[in-house]
Amino acid sequence: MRRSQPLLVATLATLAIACADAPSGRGMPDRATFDAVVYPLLMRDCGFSTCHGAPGRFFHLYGPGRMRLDPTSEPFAPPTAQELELSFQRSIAMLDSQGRPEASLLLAKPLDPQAGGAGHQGVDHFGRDVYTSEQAPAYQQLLRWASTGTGVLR
Amino acid sequence: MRCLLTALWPALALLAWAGDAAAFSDPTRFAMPFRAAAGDPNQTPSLDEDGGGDGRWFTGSASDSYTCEVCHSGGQATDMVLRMDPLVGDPAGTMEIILSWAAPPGPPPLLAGNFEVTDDRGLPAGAMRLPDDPTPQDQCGGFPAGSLFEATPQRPVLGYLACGATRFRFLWTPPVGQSGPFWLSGAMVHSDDQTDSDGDGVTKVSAAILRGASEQYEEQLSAGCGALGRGPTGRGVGLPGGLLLAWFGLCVLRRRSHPGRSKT
Repeated sequence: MRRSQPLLVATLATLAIACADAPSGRGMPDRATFDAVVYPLLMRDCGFSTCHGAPGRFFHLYGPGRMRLDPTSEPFAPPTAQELELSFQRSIAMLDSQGRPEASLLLAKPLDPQAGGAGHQGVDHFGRDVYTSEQAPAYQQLLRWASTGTGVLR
Repeated sequence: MRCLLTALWPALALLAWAGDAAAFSDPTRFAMPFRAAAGDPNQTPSLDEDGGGDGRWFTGSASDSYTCEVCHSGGQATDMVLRMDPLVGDPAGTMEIILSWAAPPGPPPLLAGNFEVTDDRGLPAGAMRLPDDPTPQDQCGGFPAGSLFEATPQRPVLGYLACGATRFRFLWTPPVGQSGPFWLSGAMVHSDDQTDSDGDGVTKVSAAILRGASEQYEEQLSAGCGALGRGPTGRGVGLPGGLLLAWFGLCVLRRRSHPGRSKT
């Protein structure tokens, strides 16, 4: 039962967000950039099996060398179309921020609170968040991609 | 309502069929890019090239500070002893570093890990090397238990490969002109031999190395606990769980005609 609760929450959250408008109604961030740039970054920095590779999390990612969506997939085979689509959908659901991508969960949670982020549970054993500065190259790439869907191009 | 149902079924199906996470049984996998063809559109990745660590070796050092715990969880880690012993009479201040563990009855534990020595900023410090005089304790069938990798240029990482040895011994010489402190960082995974990251335990190593120490240093390392909460198996809920969840979700939906937004 303990494991069911987060899954239920995740499912209901999916429903709520799937039925909402696209992030702020300003269009969708670029899919091709997601596949080529953002997805590998998210998998490198977030997609671990006890973190956002865990199916119980609302924001979860699937792909090679991490959690596979289909357990029969070869562990290191390229990501499937379904894995990319699911990862994309979950990522854009984390961008709902009234046109301010830096305030979205996707950008604010991995940024250290000392750098203006919201912080999240997944800090390292020094207590630092994934990105300690807005200048972190990966953070900048996420922000650039997120901005393409808000009309706030950078 | 149609919208809700449209969203519900894919979500439930995905939860029901979520698979396992692969373990990196090949140490070089940590250095491989996540997408082999990401930087070269003309390169077609083979089935065995994607999914690398993209330069992360998960040693827990200041520059690569998440450890093996981000993937491996749910199993019993191995208690270890870390010993650092300055080599007598060595003008360079070389230390012999030994990570040892008790040999349990039955088959030896399947252990593997990555280690590096850095300064406070996480930059590589000094030189690690495997001993020139390995004993049977340090070996697996006549081969060294450890390997030195150039994780990225100028970043050496020592990897220990599961093979039945009862200790991991290496030497470290401090850098010239730096006073330290220096940090030995790493983690050892005790695998359950299932080729995935579930059911594995992690013993973390994070110890200061003092330059010029003249006495032996010894520390007991107990099993590390998971950095993030997780169930004992870490797998999806499975098909029966998915169907149960579907039933429960539909019951809830019948009571909720206007679900609000959720920010989780």
